[in-house]
Amino acid sequence: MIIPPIGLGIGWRPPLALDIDRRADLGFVEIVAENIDPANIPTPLRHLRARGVAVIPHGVSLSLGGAEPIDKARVRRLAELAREFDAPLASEHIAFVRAGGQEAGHLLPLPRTRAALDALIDNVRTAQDLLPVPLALENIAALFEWPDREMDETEFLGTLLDRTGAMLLLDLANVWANARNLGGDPVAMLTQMPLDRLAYVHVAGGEERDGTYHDTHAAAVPPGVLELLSDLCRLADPPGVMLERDDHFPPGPQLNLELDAIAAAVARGRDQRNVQRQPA
Amino acid sequence: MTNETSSVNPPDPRRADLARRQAALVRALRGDAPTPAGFDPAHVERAADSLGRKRARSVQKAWPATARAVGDRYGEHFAAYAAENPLPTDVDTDGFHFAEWLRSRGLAPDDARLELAVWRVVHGFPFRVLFLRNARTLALVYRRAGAARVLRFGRKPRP
Repeated sequence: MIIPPIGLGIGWRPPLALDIDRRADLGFVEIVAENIDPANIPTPLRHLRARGVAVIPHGVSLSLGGAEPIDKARVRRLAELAREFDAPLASEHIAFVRAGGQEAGHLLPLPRTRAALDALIDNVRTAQDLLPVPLALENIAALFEWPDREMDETEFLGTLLDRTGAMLLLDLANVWANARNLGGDPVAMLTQMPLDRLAYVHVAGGEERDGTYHDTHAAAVPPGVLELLSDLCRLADPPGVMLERDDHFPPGPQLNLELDAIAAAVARGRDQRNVQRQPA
Repeated sequence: MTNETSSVNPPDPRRADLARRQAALVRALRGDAPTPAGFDPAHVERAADSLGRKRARSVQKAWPATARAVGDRYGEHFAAYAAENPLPTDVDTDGFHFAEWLRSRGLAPDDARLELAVWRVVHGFPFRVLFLRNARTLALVYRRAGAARVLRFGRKPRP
């Protein structure tokens, strides 16, 4: 499946609505499905859609990686938003958010076992059957790992995408944060990722606290994440790249600089890829 | 939201084991149980700490008047509340439970009580009267076109 280019994007949040509306070069926005009522779409989103900006519904509460079957009502909401906006695709996380009747309040990592992979694949297929558009799945940031690993993250991811036909929503800030907090080389990891299935890319900023990097989406994108974005664009051509900002919203000019820095990082990587491709 | 789920497959012992382990991890992250065997306790603890911060910050944003009214003691009160109350499915309800927790302990200043009254009027019985102690005014909170409105009677707060 080929996803058409969607260009530069941003996570749409009400406090950013005006600045987003003023930015003419945006190809897409992503909306958090749980925060937008399909029966009561905010007017600024309708305006964006009318001027040709793609809108991608993004779920955070399906708990696709949970051992229990997913709640179809949550998938239907995602589906309804996808239809409402004529979205090119919808997305969710490779994670679980509740278990044993309790909400965790955050995206939690999965054990990298066959059993967890099978449960995830069953849930992804249930979701895909109800969605009118392709589904992209996102790698998450984790502050801990499960014991009893039966495969590495890239094998887990590759098998998941192969067996479900889902696309990859690659969160580079999460790859970067995990390498910092749990070890590993983020660039080496990118080279092993199923980049041929790339739908779009998330970048975001976070904060360092007591030696741990937290992916808070509440600060500027760190230089290391922008560098990783250039590295990615040297290896592959992501159809879309977007900024996630969820808190401590910057004033408009600063937000524009953030988006400009992302576009520049993409261009740097792309130029290097083109140079590599030139015959000697 | 209903809890309609897909049909249950024949019981799979590995799936049941996964369910048990996920539930044990969530309990540990909430501070209700020790770190399950095999996990790095320091890593699980920092994740639990991060979840606690995220929860407190989310409620602070969803219930701004209550958080402002409590001021410097917000973190302390919220931690005490969170230790006793599991996370509901959405942040607005979490904020409502927190505001109610403050009120029932006599810890809710006027603005917090007003925000709580506004929530109740939007989600329940369409009007409410409360006495704002500091301002020494009576407030009528009522619902009109789905939104809460506030009318104040009595003395204006001193400048």
